[in-house]
Amino acid sequence: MIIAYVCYGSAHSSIVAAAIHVGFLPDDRIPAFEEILSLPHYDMTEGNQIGIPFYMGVDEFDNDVYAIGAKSGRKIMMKAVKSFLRESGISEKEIMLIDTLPAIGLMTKFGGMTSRRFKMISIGRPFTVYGIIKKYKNFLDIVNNVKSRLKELD
Amino acid sequence: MVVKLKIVYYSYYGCFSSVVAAYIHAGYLKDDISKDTIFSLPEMLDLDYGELKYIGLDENLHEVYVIGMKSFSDNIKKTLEGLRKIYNLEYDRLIFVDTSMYEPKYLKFIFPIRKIAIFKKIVDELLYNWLIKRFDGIKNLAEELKYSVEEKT
Repeated sequence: MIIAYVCYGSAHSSIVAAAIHVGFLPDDRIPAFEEILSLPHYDMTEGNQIGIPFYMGVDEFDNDVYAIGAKSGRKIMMKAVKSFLRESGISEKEIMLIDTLPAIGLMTKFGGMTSRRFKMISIGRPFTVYGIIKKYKNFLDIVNNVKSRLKELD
Repeated sequence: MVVKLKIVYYSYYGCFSSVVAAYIHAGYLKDDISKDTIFSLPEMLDLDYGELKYIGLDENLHEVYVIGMKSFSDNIKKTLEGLRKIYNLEYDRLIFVDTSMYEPKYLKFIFPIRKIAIFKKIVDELLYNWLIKRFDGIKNLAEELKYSVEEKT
């Protein structure tokens, strides 16, 4: 199965959730600033890369985990993906799409916009990390929920 | 190995010009474009963003679809192309054709107005006239694509 965490720009929340899922980030403590900053793709995605599924690793259930950006069209994108898979003869059960944007707060949104859209990286990036740290529990809840569903399916 | 194409006509709404183009491509719509024919197409003005709708097969057995993607077509196209590779659908290529230039700017106001019974006839007349004027352009777009696909496959 493919597990895809979906957010606005595949630069922050989807990357963090996917990283927790595959074990790049801890699920029993708040990570350090540098741990978040050193994640692959973290606060790096350019506008023209939004939509490309970024491979983040494999989980303990042998599922491939991805991060995908969908701007403000996450529901439309998810519907398009499911109908595309159906038309390609692939069961909807072969993919799990999880919206991670509700996990973040204003600080990460502000930092992300400053860093990615306005290219003021040195100002925006620290805000994104502090915002993630502040809301880290939300990410753990999302990933734990996904893993519970996967255990049920297993 | 035979390459099977999914030819996807899309626009912001995916329920007007893209539907006509897809039906032309699939060979169901030729020069008979009476108002009844146009408005009896099941996908016509059926607003359902993100839903990939199957229209039919063309002469080369390539699948023809329509979809409305609002202004997210750039990223959704990348996602679907990425998933095609992830699922190893290597003989199931995707071709996206934008028909937005044949879509009236006022289309978004049409949907709520058309629901009011007394305006439905006027609205349909407006849309039909718009379409008639652009039909040759849409037809050329679909037929040129069909021939370029034929040459490549």
